[in-house]
Amino acid sequence: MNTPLLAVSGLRVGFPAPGGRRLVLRGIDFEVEEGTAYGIVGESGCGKSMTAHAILGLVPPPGSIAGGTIAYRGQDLVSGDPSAWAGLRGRHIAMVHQDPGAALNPLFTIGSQIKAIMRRHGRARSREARQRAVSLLGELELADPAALLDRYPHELSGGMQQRVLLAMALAGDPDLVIADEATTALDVTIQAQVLALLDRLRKKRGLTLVIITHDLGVVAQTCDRVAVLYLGRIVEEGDPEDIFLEPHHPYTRGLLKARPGEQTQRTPLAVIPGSVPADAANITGCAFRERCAFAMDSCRLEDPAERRLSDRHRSACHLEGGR
Amino acid sequence: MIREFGSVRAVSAERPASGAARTLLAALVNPPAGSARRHVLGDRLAAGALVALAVIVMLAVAAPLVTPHADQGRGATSIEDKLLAPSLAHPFGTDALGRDVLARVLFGARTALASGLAIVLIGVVAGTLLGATAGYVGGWLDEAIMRVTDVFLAFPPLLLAMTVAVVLQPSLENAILAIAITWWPWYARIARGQAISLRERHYVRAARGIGVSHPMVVLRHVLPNVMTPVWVQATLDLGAAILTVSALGFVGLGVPQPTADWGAMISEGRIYVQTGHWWVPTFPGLALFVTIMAFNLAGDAVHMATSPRGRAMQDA
Amino acid sequence: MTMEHDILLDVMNLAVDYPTGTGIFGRRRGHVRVLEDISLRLRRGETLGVVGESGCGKSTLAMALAGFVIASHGDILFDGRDVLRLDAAGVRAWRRDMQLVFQNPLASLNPRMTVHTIVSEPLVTHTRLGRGERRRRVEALLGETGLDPSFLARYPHELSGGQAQRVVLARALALNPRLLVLDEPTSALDVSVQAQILNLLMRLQAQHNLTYMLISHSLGVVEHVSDRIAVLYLGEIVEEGPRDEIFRQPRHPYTQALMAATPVVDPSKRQVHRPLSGMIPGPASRPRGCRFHTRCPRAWSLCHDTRPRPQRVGDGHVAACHLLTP
Repeated sequence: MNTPLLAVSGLRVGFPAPGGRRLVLRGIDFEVEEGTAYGIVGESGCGKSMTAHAILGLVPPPGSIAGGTIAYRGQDLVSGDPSAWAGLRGRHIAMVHQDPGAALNPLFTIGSQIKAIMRRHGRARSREARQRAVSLLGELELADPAALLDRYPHELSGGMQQRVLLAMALAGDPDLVIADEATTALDVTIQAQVLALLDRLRKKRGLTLVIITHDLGVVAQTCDRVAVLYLGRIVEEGDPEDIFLEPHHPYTRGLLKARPGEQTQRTPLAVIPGSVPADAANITGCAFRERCAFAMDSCRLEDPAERRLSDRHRSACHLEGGR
Repeated sequence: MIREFGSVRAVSAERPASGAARTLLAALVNPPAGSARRHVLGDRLAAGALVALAVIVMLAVAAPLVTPHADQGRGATSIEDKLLAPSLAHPFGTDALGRDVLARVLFGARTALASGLAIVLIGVVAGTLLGATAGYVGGWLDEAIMRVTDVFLAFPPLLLAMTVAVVLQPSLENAILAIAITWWPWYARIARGQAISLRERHYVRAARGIGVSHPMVVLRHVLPNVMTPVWVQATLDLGAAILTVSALGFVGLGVPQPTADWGAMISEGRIYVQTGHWWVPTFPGLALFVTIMAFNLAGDAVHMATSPRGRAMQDA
Repeated sequence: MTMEHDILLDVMNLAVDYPTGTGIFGRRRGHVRVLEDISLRLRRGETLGVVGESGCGKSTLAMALAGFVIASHGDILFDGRDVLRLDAAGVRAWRRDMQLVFQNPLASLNPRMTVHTIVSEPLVTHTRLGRGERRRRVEALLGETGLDPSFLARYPHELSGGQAQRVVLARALALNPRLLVLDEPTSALDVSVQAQILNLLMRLQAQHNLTYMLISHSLGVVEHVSDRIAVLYLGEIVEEGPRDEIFRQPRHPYTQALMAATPVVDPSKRQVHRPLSGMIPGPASRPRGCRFHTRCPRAWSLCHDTRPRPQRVGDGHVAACHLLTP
């Protein structure tokens, strides 16, 4: 088998807390093959954004990586030279944020922000940069890209800003793009446009995508692999068919059943009781057991290890076999 | 010195509603991570300032008990003891009328603290009520109140206070009133900015939605949420208020004799420096310096404690 | 057909304008219409779902019903009374009968008040209950929304999003309202918590015979709770009808596009359609003719300059599209 483009193993991220360290990522393992789209789903506080920041080496202080490896093309970044990691950012690994309004500098034109990235990564000289920026915006299906370069972020709609952000991410010609809730703030018809665009770019440029979202539908529609995150741990990982049609972990099943829609008209929805606890440290054994309908004695005693259900499907739950 | 206070206040009195200004302010007063040493130093300074303040307040309150010359502190003269150098009997020496300078300084502290506090309180009450009402109601009332505020802000505070003090009879109350008139517009501006942003808040709308009347909305939902930045500004301003009282006293428009006032003491004592009686103006000057320093440091500490200390770690 | 007395809320030809920017001397420069010709009827005890994307005016509709924005045209009849022309006593009664629930529950709670103060505020404002009686009532309200009395002394920042929304609902129920206008009540919540709140909303509706207008951008939420659905686009209702009809047979191209664009969790049903092209125009630059023609895949010449009238396309099902003209 080829070396995966990105291999995260045993990743732990902690923040200093009274009486020790609070782990927000408690050992995350996943691999992303080149040219595929990998989806990470979870609710607030599950650590999905932190995973993105950790991959980029941008864990906000006072947090820090407490263990594990993040290998890009087989090279571990955590134990390696920090400047090498910084060199990857933007040029090889780029990120698209949730809130385009906050990610764009209001004082500079779209063009100058894109060109700055191109120059920084030595992808283009100043003269070519404008040309390249125009073709990039055109590729993102933005109308009249040349005129767009001279406009300021506030003059654009949310959907356009999100595309510009995507253009900025692509300006360094990266191999891997991490989209952190990149379509969450968008209307569904605009979200569909951006998702279709990402898919086309992936096929055309051979781009690898990590799509981080709370929306199960987005992942089901766009990803080749899916990981479900709960309180800093991957509780289930598999192909979309595994996760959405044959889910194993009670949390995954709960999330899917809690979605309102066609099958649920005016009947009570299946509910995961309670809410996500603030910290996993106070829970012995499985972090989900307090909200789990299937919790057993063994769930209190030990945090379940990962089990392989098939070649490509794994789940961290004591429950036997299928459903 | 006064001008400097003015400019500092001008910065922090910017409408707190504007997010950019607030972020900038937070960045200015709140250095980014990696300055742990400065934080500890800041904490120590703040703690020192608070201790100093406590001591000053206690001495002022207990002034008649700590000095054997309480009557002189209140103004009784003793000409035969005039201009005695510091000694055990008179640690700070005596002034031209033979009064114990220590007693005068201690009683001066009462004047300074009481007037400073009164000025800021009058300013806060008048300013927040006017500002919050202007911001919440909006429209022509807002325009009217804010234009009046602008007029007051267009005068240099000390100059305006001096004019008012000249027109009114010299007395402690009038000095306080004169300065308070120049003081409230700052709080009105802060309160108005807050109230404007609050007006659009969902919980204010929600209160309207359940039928709470406008005055009750202002009282229960707007004022309590307007007060935090106002109080922070007020603590920062206490030092400046005391300084202004002293300045008024220094130019002879402040508290009339025989009440002890640091500004007047410095003013009257300064000629004695040339005759070698340095202690007459020096000790009130030092008292003023220490007090204002303590208030400013404590005010900064309050500001620091209440300004957003960087965004909490967030994981969506 | 429905009997007149079945109708709790009757919105007729409602229009709302917003002033566009003010000049340097505070003079209004112009108006932009954000809601146009909105006619809706809510029967007692039913839920009307209002869906639409940003800029469609759905929140403005809620604000107009609550009186926070002034309607420039049209009538709102509640139980036969004209809500837009009430005297002071009438407004008070209207404030009891109709409650508005906002999108972000934490933002609708005063951060300096305890849960007890928050939930008792409508009681203090509208009733003369004694302190003890008020407390019992507040406890009962919290109980109904699934919170135990230990929450009474808490402040909003000590609540999770779901708990905060329960407090908001308890406050809304305090005066026994008849109509609840819910503006995106679950969009700030996680999926698992959203399900809890939706269940709660439906239980409360059954117990108190409440009428809901639920405004949402999420088709899933609207499909789950609504009896009837209205689809808004750029300030106009493009389609309205019974839930099943709308979902099984959407007639307006926009409704169809909206449904096609909503991602489903079944990976075997990946979308192969072409998503709608173009951006949503702002209210200030609403297209002439059919508002949707700039993005409509089936627009033709008529759509560019003539506004389509709503047409009856089924039992209680109307849509405004030229393609539906017989």
